Amino acid sequence: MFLKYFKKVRLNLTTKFVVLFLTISLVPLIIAVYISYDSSRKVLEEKAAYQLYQISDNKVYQIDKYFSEAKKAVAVLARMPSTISSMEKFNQAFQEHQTNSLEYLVIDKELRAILLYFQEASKYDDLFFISPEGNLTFSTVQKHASGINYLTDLKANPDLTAILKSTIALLETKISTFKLIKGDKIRAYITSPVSNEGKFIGVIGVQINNEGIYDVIKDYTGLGKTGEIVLVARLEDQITLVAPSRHDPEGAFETSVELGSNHGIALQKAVQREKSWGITTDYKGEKVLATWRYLPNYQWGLVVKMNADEILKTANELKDRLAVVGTILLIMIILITVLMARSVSGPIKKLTKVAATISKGNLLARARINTKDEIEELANSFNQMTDNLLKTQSRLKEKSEQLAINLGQIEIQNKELEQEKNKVSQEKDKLNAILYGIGDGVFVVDPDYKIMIFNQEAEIISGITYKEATGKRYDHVLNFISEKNGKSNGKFIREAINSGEIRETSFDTVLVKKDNEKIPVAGSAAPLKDSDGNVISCVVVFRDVSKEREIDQAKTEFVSLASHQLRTPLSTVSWYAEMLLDEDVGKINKDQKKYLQALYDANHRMVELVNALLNVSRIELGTFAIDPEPIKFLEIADSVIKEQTQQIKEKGLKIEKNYAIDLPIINADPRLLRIILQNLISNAVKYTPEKGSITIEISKKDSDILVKVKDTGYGIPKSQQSKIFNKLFRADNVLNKDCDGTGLGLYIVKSVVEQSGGKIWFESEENEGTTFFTTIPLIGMKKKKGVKVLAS
Amino acid sequence: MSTQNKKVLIVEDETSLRQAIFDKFEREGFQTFQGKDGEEGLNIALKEHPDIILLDIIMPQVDGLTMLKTLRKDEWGKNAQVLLLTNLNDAEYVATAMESGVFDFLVKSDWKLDDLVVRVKEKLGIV
Repeated sequence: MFLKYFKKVRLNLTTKFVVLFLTISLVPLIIAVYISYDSSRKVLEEKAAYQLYQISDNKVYQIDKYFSEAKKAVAVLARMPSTISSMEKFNQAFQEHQTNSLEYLVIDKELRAILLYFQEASKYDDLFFISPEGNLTFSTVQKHASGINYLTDLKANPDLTAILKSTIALLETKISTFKLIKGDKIRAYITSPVSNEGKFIGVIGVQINNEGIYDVIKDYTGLGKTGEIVLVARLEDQITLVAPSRHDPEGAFETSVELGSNHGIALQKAVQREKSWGITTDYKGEKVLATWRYLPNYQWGLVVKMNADEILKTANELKDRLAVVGTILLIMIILITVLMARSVSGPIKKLTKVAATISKGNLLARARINTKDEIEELANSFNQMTDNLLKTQSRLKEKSEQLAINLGQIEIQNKELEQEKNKVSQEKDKLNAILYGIGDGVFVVDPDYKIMIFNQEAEIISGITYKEATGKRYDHVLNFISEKNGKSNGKFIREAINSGEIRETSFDTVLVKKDNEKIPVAGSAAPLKDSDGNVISCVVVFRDVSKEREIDQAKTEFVSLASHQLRTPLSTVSWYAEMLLDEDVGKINKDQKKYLQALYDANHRMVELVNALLNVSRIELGTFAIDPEPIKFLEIADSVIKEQTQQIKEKGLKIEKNYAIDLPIINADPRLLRIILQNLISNAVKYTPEKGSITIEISKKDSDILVKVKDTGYGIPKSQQSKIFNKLFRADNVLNKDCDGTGLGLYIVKSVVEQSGGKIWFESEENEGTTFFTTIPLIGMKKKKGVKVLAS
Repeated sequence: MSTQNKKVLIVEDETSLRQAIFDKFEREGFQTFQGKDGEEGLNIALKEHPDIILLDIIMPQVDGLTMLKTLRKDEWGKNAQVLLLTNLNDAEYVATAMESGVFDFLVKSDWKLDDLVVRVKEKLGIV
């Protein structure tokens, strides 16, 4: 709160320092002074209270002692022979002649002088005799004993009656309560039994007051200048001093305090039987430290007190001294703070002045400060800054001059640039015209796959407008999917960008148009590179191949139908040729047999060709089945080799089999496996010249069975290796070597291998030989449902 | 045992093929019958009770499978021996036919006629 205010308010440094330092130093000082004053005050008070208690105890002891000695004195008086004989005489005179008789007066005259002497010597107010019956027989105060019977007249003097009864009954000395008489003093009685030769003859009594203890009360030892002892008694609601006090020597039985008033609190508490101490107001209205207690034996209140000022004199002196020291300290703090603040604010003011001068434009002004501290560092930095400012200013001036020159040049360049821009714009228009005129869909994406260009044909094919397409990721706009499984097929563009090579769509790609119609498309993505070889964009060309697809489908169906139709006559030719060759219908000569055999062989090749064409059509129609079952790989391989025995023998080829012994039984479609092996091995046989050799290796490799068919044949020319798996392709170097072949075998094998989960590849060197590798997964061929099987 | 008293029925719509097979089996000494479609084949079969029927599948009018099913309902026909001839090596048809008790099938032109004769002789227990 304070700090917030302190931050907001606008004060100079000196004032801020003074306020801050004063706050920091004064608060603890005040707290320390207060604590030390308060504790010393408490100590003094407690010490004084203890002392007052001791004095009070001592006074009570002295009072008790005084009255117990008074009791003893009366007991001694009771045993004196003169007392005994006097009492005997008064008893007798009282009994025989009453108090106003002559006889009584004679005895009274004889004895009164001695008894008066006893009374005055002991400062009794009265000395009297009471007979065992309770009759007052003598009194020093009354000239003639009144004859009151204190045992029967209970109202005459109840206090006396009470101790009288007790003295007669117990034969002991007793003292009565001290009664304050209204308008008078205090009185009490002491009674003691008197006996003559063991016979109880009466009671001697004395009336006493409390003047005997005035000396005790007046003893002010240990009470300093203001301390006093006040003894009070209560009569109804009046509390009256029953002994003179130091400050009110005439106050005994005169000065009184009303119960419930705000004066003489200690006196009121004392008569209310409390025993304690505290700072309070006395009967004169002064502030005092007092102890108070009640003396039940006498029904008095005793207050021992001293003026608070006297007790706390030391503490108050300490307070004054602390105030003086505090003031001196305060002045010193203010002085030191002002000096300190000046030492900081002085150089700052100086610095401010210099800054003002500099801001007016005089960059040559410098701050000269020599305080050897952070302010001097600040001044140095400031000077350094001004130096730099000076330098920068001159540099700026140079630059702005240079800039003016450059600006002129830029204007000229701008004009040239404008011309160039126009040219580029014209070129761009031309390019756009070409692009939009192209019959194929063309779009261009940047390396973030965002479409930059989208031509008219692309709009027509996809149903998406230029506006909808540009600026968006191609895969968010154009949905290329696989016709077979509906999964995205658009990765060829991504791959082209990532690899920097041209990529084509896979054959089953369809484009989902804006209206959800699916149309088959074919296309390619060609990355464009800058001079460093970084791909900067990718041109995608695609076209609607619906018509081509339909034609292809029709062609495939035609082949299927034609092949089927072809087989019937081929079978007929084959079977009749067979019957003739078997001489079922009669003997044939050698030439006839030769020609018939040629007829039969040619027919057989035709059957093979038709089978292959049928297989191709089934592969392309997707109707062939893969039906895996547990097979013995090597047995199938051997049976395939055996089928080729005749050709192998004719060409004198060397066959080497290299089978792994630990080959597991795997799940494969035996028919398809046979097709694969037949094609690979028969190709090797077909394309290897006489005396060549063929190695067939079957082994387990990783998670596949690897089949390796190696020959020392004609090989495949490098330039044609990429086409070897194409349908109806045959390499140039074998076309003129009189090797018959359909150009369909490897196409079929590749399709079968890949669709059943395997791979096929080759290594070949022209005139050195070829090695074909194919793998079938150990987990088996992938099952494929289909209505047709492939013919082997 | 001789082929003399063994009856073979050939049901095939392609005349040239039917005739070739017919000629072969005649020459082998079988008592040979031929039907040009399922209906004709069924009639001959039920009349002649051939020892073996060589049956084509795809035929106009009543095809091989329909004839086979009807044949199996006949008291004699349900145990008749049938060998399937097919040009199509059609997996689905073959599978259905096998369920109807065909003991074997062959794809025409894949086999030599001699092989067919051997197969039939084996089936009929003629050494």
